[in-house]
Amino acid sequence: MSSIIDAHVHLWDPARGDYGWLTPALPTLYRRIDPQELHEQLTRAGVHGAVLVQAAPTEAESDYLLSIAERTPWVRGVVGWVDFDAPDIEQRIAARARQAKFVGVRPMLQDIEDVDWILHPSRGRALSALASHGLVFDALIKPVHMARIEQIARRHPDLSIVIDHAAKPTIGNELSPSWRESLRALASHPNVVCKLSGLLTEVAPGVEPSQVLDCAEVVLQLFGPSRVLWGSDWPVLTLASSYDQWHALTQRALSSLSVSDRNAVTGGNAVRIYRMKTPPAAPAILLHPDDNVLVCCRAVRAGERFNISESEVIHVLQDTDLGHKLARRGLSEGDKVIKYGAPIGSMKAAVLAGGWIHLHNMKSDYISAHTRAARVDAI
Amino acid sequence: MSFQGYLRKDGRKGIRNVVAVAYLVECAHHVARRIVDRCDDPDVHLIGFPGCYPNEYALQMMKALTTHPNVGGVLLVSLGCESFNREALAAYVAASDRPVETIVIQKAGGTRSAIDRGVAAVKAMQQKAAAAAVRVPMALSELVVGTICGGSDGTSGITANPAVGRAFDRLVAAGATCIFEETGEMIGCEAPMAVRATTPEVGEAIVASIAKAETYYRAMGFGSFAPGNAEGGLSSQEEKSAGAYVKSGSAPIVGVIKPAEVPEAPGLYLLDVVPDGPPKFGFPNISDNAEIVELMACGAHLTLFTTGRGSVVGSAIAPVIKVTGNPETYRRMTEDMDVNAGRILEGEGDLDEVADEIVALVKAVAGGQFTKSEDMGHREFILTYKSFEPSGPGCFPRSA
Repeated sequence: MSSIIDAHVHLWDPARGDYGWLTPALPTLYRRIDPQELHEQLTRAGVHGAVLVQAAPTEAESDYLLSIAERTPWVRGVVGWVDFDAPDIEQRIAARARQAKFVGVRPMLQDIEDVDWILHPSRGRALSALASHGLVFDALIKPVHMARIEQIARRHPDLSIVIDHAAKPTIGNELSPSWRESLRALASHPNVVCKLSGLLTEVAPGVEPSQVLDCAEVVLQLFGPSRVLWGSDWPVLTLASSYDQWHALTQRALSSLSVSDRNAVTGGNAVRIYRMKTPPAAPAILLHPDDNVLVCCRAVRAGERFNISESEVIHVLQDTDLGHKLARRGLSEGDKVIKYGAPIGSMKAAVLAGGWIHLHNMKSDYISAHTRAARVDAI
Repeated sequence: MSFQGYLRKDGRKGIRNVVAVAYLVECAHHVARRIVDRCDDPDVHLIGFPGCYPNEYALQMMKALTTHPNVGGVLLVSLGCESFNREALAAYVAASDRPVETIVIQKAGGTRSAIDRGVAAVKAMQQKAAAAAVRVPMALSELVVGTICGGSDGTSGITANPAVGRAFDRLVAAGATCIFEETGEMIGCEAPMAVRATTPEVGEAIVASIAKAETYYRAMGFGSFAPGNAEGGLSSQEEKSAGAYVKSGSAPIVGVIKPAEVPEAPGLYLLDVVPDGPPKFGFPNISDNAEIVELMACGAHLTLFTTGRGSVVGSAIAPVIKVTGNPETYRRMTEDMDVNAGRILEGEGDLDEVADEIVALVKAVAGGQFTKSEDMGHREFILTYKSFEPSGPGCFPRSA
């Protein structure tokens, strides 16, 4: 089901102490952001998966994000950080490439004073290693860097480059013509794609947030629907807006696309560009965040335990077949059974969390179901 | 991408060139079946109506089916004393420029001579139909595709049905006409469905059709819910409904049609299959093929059939593509299943991949490739009594 993917989100814990830019001066962001909080945003918007992007210039932070990714099925990939100046950079990148959910690397170019830093020949070793291992280079840049990244795209035609947040143009009532021309130049390289993300935080004071639609239109027009990745930049996004507002606004931006093209922008392209592996099949799935039942994707056995999310464990109480329902939590007689986010009947007897829910303990609120009389003396 | 279709006089194009042998009362069924058996040809199909009493719905259905774009010729088999208006039906088929003949068993001299004459008539008709066939390029936008589910289980609503929904989205985007149906299996989904209507009239018709279905099924005493649904993990009508509804995808709903009404403009339609007026003649559709027959009468060239438990049926006239949502069913009944949407549950692929696979198969089957049920000779057909009021113009958009 993981077809809608937010290609750009962050998780962090200031207590880890290596973020640098993240200080108490940003009170809404200076707090632990855990997967649970992110997952609530995603599921409310109908988003199935996300790519975690680094926020600290350390390899320890990449390990931290990967440890979350390993136990969180909906985290589809991690864009981490490597030390481009390490003498053994090729080996370090090779080691990262062997980690299933490590999909790309992002030096924090926007914070580096030397705007030509990435162009230095010594850093070409890291870029070549990324290309040869099929890892993506996420470019966290401002408009001043755009021409530099174009040079990188030219030097490394096999390197897949993702422009984060459309290079963070200032969004006023008019779009900057030079940003547009630089983006056009970047788009002319087939190895460059662009993230439709983060733009609301670039809206100038006094300018309507809906101006980002113009920017989105330019991105879509220049890159085409197979080379744009939808993302949120949550929780940085919350400095200017909410996940729901960004989701609604970008839905508008994508509304003129065909279904296939929209699916590409909101997930298919991320799967392709980041070369995501298919997640292992879960034994049971939650179809909607409001549901109080899970649906078994295979027959499950009493005593099995598995995670529905990082913090939610299901302990199966009785053998239950493929396609049947398990109680996500204990339910009492008269409780509504919720599946697909909608009521599908009422409990006529209590069930414990992890128990089987079916005709023996629930009933339709509309019309009774009929079953087969399999006894030979029934007629 | 285009494929070769059969151009008919009314401008529609078919994806098969079938001779339909139609009995007009159960008393003529045996003769008609023997004619089809003796022809032993995958393109000669048996259809018919068993009742002796007159029924306007059955006449309209037979008119629509015998002039379906996949049909190139028609043999009517009448006992002679039934009420079915064979002359009107024959005249209607003839006016469509298709070869048509009628054999009246009582006039032909009995069973054997009727069968002999019927076989000869079909053979002559096939030659005429082949000679008259006009092959022309046909685009996806000229296709009418129906969908139904049968033998649903707890997997259908999370794999096969949403995958078909996404295939529908792609087909509608390509300009095709798509039809979903079984309002009895949409009970509880009327509010979100009405929001997708393109006009207030269509929205009202959606809500009214579901209310009618609920009243009708309540009078029958059973919902549209089979024992196998429960064995597969579905516990209530509304749970089955929520899973069935997603077959419709996310395109706007441009109209609500009734059986034998052929949409003239492309887009997504809801087929209201529950009879109008007070409940009579029994359950709306007594088994899955009754629904497929109604989709065909609305012009469907082929049907996407989703199943969890594992249905095996095909259909006369229009091919059936079987999509199973259950990976165990796929492994157990591979010979019957065209698409395994159940692989999604095992982490092999997602809804979009399966939707792409379905659309690719729709193109191949439209181009002449046989589906598994078609290849194994499944040609099921059933038509029984019903009564309908025609749809109002607001629900039935004409082409611009």
